[in-house]
Amino acid sequence: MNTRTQLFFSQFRAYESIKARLRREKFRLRSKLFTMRYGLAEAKTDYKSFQGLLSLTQTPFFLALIFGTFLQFTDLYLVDLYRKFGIKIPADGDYATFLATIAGIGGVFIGLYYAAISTVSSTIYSSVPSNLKDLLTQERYGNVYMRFLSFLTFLCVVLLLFRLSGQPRAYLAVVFIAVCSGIGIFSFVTLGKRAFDLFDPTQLSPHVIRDLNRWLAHVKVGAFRWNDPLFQGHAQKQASKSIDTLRILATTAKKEAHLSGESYVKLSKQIVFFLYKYEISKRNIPTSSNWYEQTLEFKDWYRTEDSAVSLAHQSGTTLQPETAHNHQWIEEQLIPIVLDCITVNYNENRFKEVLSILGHIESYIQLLAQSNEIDRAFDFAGKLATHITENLQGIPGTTPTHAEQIELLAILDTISRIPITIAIGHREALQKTLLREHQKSISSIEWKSEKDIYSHNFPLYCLDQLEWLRGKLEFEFRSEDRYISPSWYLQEILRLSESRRFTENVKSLVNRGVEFYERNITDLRSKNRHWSLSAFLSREREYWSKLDFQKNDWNDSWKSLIENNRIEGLAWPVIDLEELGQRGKTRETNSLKAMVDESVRLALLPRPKDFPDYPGQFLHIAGECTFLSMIENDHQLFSEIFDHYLAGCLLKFDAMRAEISGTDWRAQQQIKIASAPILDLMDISGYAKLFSDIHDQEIFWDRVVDSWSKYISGNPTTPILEILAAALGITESAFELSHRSILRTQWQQMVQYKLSEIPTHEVDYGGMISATHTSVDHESTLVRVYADGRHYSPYDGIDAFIEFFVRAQGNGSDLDFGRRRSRDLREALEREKGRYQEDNQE
Amino acid sequence: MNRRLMQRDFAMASHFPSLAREMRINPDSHMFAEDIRLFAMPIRHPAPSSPNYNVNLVGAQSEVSRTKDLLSQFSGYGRHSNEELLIDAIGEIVLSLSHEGRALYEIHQQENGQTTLNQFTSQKLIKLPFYYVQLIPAIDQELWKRKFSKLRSSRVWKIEMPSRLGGYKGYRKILSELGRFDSTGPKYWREELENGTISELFNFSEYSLNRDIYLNRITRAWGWNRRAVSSDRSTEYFTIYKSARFNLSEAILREHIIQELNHLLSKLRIECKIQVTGLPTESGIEEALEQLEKGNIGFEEIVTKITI
Repeated sequence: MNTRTQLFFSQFRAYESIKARLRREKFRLRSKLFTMRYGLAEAKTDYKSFQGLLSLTQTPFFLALIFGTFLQFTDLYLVDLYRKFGIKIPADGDYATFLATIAGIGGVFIGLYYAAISTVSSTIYSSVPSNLKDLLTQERYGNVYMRFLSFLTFLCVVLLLFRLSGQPRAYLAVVFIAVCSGIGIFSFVTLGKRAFDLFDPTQLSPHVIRDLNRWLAHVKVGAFRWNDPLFQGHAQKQASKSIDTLRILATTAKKEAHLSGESYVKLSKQIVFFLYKYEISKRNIPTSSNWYEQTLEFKDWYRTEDSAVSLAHQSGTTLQPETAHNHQWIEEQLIPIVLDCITVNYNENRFKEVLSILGHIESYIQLLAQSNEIDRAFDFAGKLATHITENLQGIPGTTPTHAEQIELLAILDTISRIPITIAIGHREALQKTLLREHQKSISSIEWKSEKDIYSHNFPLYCLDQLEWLRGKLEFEFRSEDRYISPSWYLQEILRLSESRRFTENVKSLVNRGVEFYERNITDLRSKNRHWSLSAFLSREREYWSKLDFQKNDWNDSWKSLIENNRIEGLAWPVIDLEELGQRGKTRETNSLKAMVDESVRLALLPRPKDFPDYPGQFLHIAGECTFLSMIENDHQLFSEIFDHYLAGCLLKFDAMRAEISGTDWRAQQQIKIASAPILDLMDISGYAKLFSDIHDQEIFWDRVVDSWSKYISGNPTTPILEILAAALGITESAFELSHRSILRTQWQQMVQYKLSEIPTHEVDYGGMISATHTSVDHESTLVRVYADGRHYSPYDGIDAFIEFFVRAQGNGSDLDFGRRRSRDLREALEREKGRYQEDNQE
Repeated sequence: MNRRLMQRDFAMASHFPSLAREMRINPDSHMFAEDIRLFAMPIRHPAPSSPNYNVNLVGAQSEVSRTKDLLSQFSGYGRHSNEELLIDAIGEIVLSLSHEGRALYEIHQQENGQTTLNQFTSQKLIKLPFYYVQLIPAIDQELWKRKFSKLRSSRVWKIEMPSRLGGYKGYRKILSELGRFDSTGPKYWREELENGTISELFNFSEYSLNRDIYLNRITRAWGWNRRAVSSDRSTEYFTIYKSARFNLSEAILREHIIQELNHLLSKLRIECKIQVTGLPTESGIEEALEQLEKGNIGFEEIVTKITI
């Protein structure tokens, strides 16, 4: 019927009455059809359950059959023997007895099964809400078995009735009954065992999850009446009931000590697995489906279309509110169950169980991130961390102890890793943006089809926009008999959605990342849990490093989203990637300072072997960052961390030295390894002098001198300079690469690279043969020596440290630092000074 | 000296008050007619949106004067410039066209040789061979002192809606269809609503959507965007497209009227041609629409190109 005819008829009440009647009839018919389909689906599931039952009993069944056949065949050869011994073939009466016996057994089995169920029900289910009891009575295997058994029992009764009515004996029936009774007896054994499982109500959870999945399948695009709001609403109500049942199951499991462990965890894992599948399924559910819980939104009088306003005014009524949908209604109800399970098990010190759920949760969170749901992923991660840290008891005092359990550390490490999982998931989602996958998909949408937009795997946030577009395009088509909005326009509208989500995600990755780590680290510090705190610090560094790696992708994605946009005035989101980068950087610096601080704190304690070497990791990172701060002329950071780094290196040296035993070559090797932190420290300290000259920032060198001086004067009994000389001498005495020397060589290369940025000029020596040398344009003699234009400088930080600090100390000039350090930097400096003066005089 | 002519000096009645009182004004048809009138020509001259608008009367000085005299009959404000004269003339003609689908003028030759045009109503008008006959309603016979009027076809200047926009009949059909379905729902439902018996039989949202689509379909030839009333049902692109299509229709109408005015001049043996430049043309708007579809021009640019 065309629009005009529809409007014409709609002027008459009778038409609307007929239409409503037809609609009701149609609904009744569809409901019947739905019931039939539902019944068929039920029958199919029952059949599968029956098959399952058969599979459970097939081994004993076939064994019995083989044995029966064996007896039957043997029987033929034994007839003579029977006669010889006087054994008679069963008479007519035996036939009836046989059937009566089977019927009797069937009745007894039925009674026994229900007796078992009643026992379970009266002990476990007596005080639970009715929907949990319903679950017990709806237990599928038991129901199927009871139906089968009652059929068999009644069949025997019927056959007996026939016999009593004078009908001949049916030999086939005897065989059939025998077979069925075999199944019945073996099934009874299996189900009997199963009855014991029912003492654990959570064993019934798969039935509930299956129901939930079934109702979910009803609202997915393409299912029967998937777009009918009444059917959607019905599915939502049923799913809501299933969720209530799950919640009651969880509460029951939580209350019972014997269920709150493995059973509760199993239930929670099933829930997380369901949530995982549900997240994928959401792409196939219209966002306006009544499957999603409805809320009312009232309209603005001055933003509503004229006809609705006129109507409301004329009739003296208010504007009809619009319905909004809560797309997270299932998650809002199920996630607390999982979190509660974690808290219960955590409080009971069942750490392995907690870890096993966390593995499932991590996969779910990764999926959220891959689906561009970064905020939701952080919400879950935040709640998870809060549930654990809130229940974490503080350790008295302010210094680190070994009171923290390794299992607990593993849990906190898993939680602190979740933001990294989110970052990785987001990167995968970014690739889709970069490849313009959604842009390509929108071009192939069949807009006429109600279903097609759901078949291209668009994420939920795009579906909303696509549904909006489809409504508009349908209006265009019905108005103009063709689509008017061109594909470039549609792509751009979709890009708008994508860009909004992109900016939200990137902001969340930075801001919520900062918030997540900051809050948890502060909380753990207040509870004096330094190892746990270190787990967070270690993971935080990895997190920022992952984000740093993504930054190019962010720029590319952002460009691909906003480039060549043609629609003016669209509210494109704004994002300052530089500012976000700076926020991340600031947090990273704070985290680094905390790391350096923790490296010293933890170094005071011997590390248990099963604990990760956080102090070592932090000390190494501190060294790298101290060095980089000099390269980048970040004197503030250098000043803040150098003291701690110095203390950390010396403590590490002491700790490693203390573990050395013996005097043989092995001990010598251990001494070389133990000296590595000292060599690192000397190298960095020396480079501080060089960088003070390069950047003309005395603060680098002043800080080094001040820290070393304080340390030496604070430990008057320790021959520190002698120890330094010995450590260097013994490490470099052999013709081999010393421990960590490759890392120090990398620093040296970076210094050379930095020095190569300083301008140079060629100076002619004059004379008969033209010869030149490269002169470095810098005031500092030290810089010129290190930046020798033609050759790779033979000097490193250690040389500068020895020359400018050690030799300046009272006994420093006499110390022997080994053969390799006999290169006289002082001479080189004097030589360069003279040459520089000559060059300038000329 | 020209004598000021009174209505009774003309053969045909200009209007019938009794019919005007009976006429039910439908908001949509009123808006439609109003929009056609408002956007046919610039509202004044010079107008910021049409700075290049120019009217050139091509002919001998005496013929140009005659043309200006003729055009000034459409204006009630004593305009002097060609541009203003044409704005008023086309405005007056479009007023009749937009409400009735055609405009009829009685050509009256005065004793001094001057030609006067008098618009008469097309209501109760019968076209016979060589004659137009007007049947005057009984109530209005007192006013016009006669039962009917007749006029030779040769003394009538008739202008109708251009055929590309549906012509006279097509336009009349649009006007009648626009008022067919009330925006606030069918009468029975409104009554039920006012009585407080909210019927669940009727779906107002569906009705409203169907009505919007229906109005779009019947005015499709014009591309009327209904003052963007249904913009929340359509994309921004579609709204802009409709605006451009409506401006295209206005350009077609404008060019048609100018062509008809030139025909009138030649019918009255005035050797002068009206030439208009600086306003959006049919071909210009069509090209802009093509560019818009390809995404070569933005929304603001096309709006600037098509707006008067």
